[in-house]
Amino acid sequence: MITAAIGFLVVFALLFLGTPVAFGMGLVGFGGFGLLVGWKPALAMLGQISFETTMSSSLSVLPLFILMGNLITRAGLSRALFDCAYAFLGARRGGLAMATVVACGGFAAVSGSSMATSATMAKVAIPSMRRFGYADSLAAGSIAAGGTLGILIPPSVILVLYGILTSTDIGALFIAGVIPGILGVLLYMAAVAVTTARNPDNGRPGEPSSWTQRLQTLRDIWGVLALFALVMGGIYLGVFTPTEAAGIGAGGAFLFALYRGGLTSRRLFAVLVETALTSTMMFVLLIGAVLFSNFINVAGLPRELSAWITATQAPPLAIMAMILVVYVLLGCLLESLSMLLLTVPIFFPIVQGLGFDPVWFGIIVVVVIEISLITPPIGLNVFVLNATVPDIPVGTIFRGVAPFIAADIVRLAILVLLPGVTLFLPSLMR
Amino acid sequence: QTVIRFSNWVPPTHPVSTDVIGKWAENVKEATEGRVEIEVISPLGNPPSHIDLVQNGVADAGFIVHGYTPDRFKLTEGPELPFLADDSRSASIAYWKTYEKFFADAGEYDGVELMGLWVHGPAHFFTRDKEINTLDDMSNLKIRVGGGMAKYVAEDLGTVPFFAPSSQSYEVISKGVADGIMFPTESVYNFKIGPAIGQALEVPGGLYRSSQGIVMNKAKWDSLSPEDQEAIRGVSGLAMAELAAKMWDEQDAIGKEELIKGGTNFKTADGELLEEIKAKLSVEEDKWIAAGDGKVDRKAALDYLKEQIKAAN
Amino acid sequence: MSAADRDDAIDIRLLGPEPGLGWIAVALKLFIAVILLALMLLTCVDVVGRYVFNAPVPGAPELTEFGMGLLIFGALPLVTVRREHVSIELMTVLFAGRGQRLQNAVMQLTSLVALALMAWQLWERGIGLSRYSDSSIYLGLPLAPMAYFMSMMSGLAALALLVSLVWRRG
Ligand code: NA
Ligand code: NA
Repeated sequence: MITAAIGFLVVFALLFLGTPVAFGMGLVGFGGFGLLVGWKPALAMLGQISFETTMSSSLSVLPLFILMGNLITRAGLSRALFDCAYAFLGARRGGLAMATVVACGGFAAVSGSSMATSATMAKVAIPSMRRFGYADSLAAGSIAAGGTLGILIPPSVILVLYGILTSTDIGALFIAGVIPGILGVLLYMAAVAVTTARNPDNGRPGEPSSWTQRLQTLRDIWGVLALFALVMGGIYLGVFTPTEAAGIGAGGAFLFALYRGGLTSRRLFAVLVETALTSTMMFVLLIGAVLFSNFINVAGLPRELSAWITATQAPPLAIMAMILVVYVLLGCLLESLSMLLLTVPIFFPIVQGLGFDPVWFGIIVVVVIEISLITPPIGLNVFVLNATVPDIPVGTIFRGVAPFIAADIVRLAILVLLPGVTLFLPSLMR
Repeated sequence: QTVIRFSNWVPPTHPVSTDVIGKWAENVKEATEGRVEIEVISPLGNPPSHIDLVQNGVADAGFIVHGYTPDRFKLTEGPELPFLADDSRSASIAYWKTYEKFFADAGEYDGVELMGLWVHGPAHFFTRDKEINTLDDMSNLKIRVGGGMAKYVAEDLGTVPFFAPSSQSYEVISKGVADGIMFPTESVYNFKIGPAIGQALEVPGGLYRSSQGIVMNKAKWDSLSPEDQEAIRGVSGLAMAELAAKMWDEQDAIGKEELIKGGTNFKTADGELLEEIKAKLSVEEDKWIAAGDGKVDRKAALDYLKEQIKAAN
Repeated sequence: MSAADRDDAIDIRLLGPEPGLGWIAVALKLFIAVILLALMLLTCVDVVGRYVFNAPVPGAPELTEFGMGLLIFGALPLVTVRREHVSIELMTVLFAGRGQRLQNAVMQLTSLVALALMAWQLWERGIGLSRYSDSSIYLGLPLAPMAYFMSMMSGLAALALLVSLVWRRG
């Protein structure tokens, strides 16, 4: 256990000094394995893990879902989604921010990434909110927070990786994310309502829309609905596996982008390259994480930790609460993928040993990762937003997300205390 | 005390983990009076890589399925042939004896120490809803196979072999991506495919069986005292084949009982259908015998295997 | 500037040559784009073939495996020279200039070591696989060439990083 603890400290030291997360985990995993087991095996493991982690058909789900999201982004659907949400909600106090949150939820249904959701929605929602004199903090906060829904509402790259790491049914995980995702949208809207009730100047009502206009905008988002229905319906009804759903989804998004026009060969080329680069970044991270978790494994950490926890005889819910506190604290510093890959190999065996449902825990992990995306000092979605709209300072955005973090804590409490909220839909699958 | 790290990719609750690896670990501890302990840990790599993980010393020991690295284990396809035995026990005992007499010198396990090998029970033909009465009923059904003997058999029978990694076999069947599967009865039950399977066609002697084993890192093995090696040998080899076979036979029985309870309709291939299946699959024996490089007398080995199966019954 | 113009501006940066790789980068980008498109088409053709024509693509998952190897490692040199490996930029956040220089040095050094180790051991993996002429279970495609490919791409990534460093200094 001491060895593993030292390993963790070295990883953190390397990461904070600037080592790319993948290489930090990989090198420490390699070094630790070398010290514990031997250098020849450690070297061989490096080659084997790099090879077999990449040569995986089930992991093709990652690049293909990322491709689907990127193609949809290029098809201009984010604009259509925002217009539609705006038509229904824009005339309320804080309505544009609410519309932004809802549009983020809609975009999340076809994109597997939180950063992509934030970046895309920022481009369409920020100009509108500025036009109506919204406070920068509320405008940016609603997008940074709304974007986190990208990894909870299916499809989700984080849920895919969780499923792969823990051998949990990815289809069930996807279906399980739907209700907590909708809950997230509603609670974020409540956060907007509370904020604007206290500071009405932060978000004045926009122009009301007629029902004709509303129905018109609904017609423009059929592509999102169709694609979501195709992918999730196919998984839910068992027409194809999640891996295949990703390919079908990408194909559907491709056709849809062609239909909407503007997908020049040049743009297609750019989308493909962008997707490949993101995928490789994730895979290198995954390889590093597998190396690190092999070291943790031979160092005996998960077993000893489990034994220790069993010995304390604390109630499972108290242990779960402790794990979640650790997650929220780690989440302040770590980037989402790294956090998932570093922690799941350690916590999952414990959680399973305590009798918690693996699908439920997957959703809980995603919700704490969502929180990590917007908590200071390292909040990836906040940085994404700052990169997209450079004139809004990082500090302002962090201030703006505070009410949404409160909403996230409420949601986390609901999901932990009422597992049925998460597990109801997957229980209908079979 | 020597600790042997056993990298186990089979789920911890699966009977291979509990009744084979777990029991063997207990037996080793007892036989060596606690001097050697098998410590079962979460997998350090994917299933096909375990032969290399053990050879390179990443893991000290591991469970292997020969069909995952078919280019290294040509001889194991002999005991996987169709129609050899109605159970796992007789085939596994005969397999170990055949290994000792014919295969041991062929060098297929160079670089590792073979602890034991065996075959699972006979594989049968399971479909979602199609009842099989003639060979024609099989043709063009999409049948999930892993590879190796199962693939050859699926092709010989005129089905459309549909490849899916073993980790996804449950997914593709339960979701109807494939029309059926060739599996031992146990696997249909334990992979929880049962609810999707309406019809089971049992083929006497089995359509194929899959060869498996446990290997140990060579250096680790050599580091043990001759006394401990002897003690471990005593609970491995034939004893391990019997241990594993007992588990497979029990699981096949449980699986069949549970599948019937769940509404799967079992029938046995006989008469014309069985003759047709036999005729289609007879090529496999000839192919296996002909494929040898002359180092091992495959014909004699197969005859001996069949003889020992009879003797074990 | 309209939104469409901005998109095209991104395209040019994304599609052109890269420091340390030069025009090799463009070739790699074309390569990974084709592979990714092929992966998408393969899945679609497989599923449609299975349902409509009762004819799945034989061994589609294995083809996907090989495609993944080509895609991920084909893009590795690009991700490396574009500095797109995820890192935690706490040093930069905390102490601007000096911290950034330290962070850069650590990043480059650890990346070089890790990539060099990968290149070496993937080559060894290739030798190991070719010793038994290991091939994929279903289609019987040889595995060793994939390991050699991955090794060469890791090596190219390390080399390109080194070149881009020297370039910047010089
Ligand atoms: Na999503
Ligand atoms: Na954070």
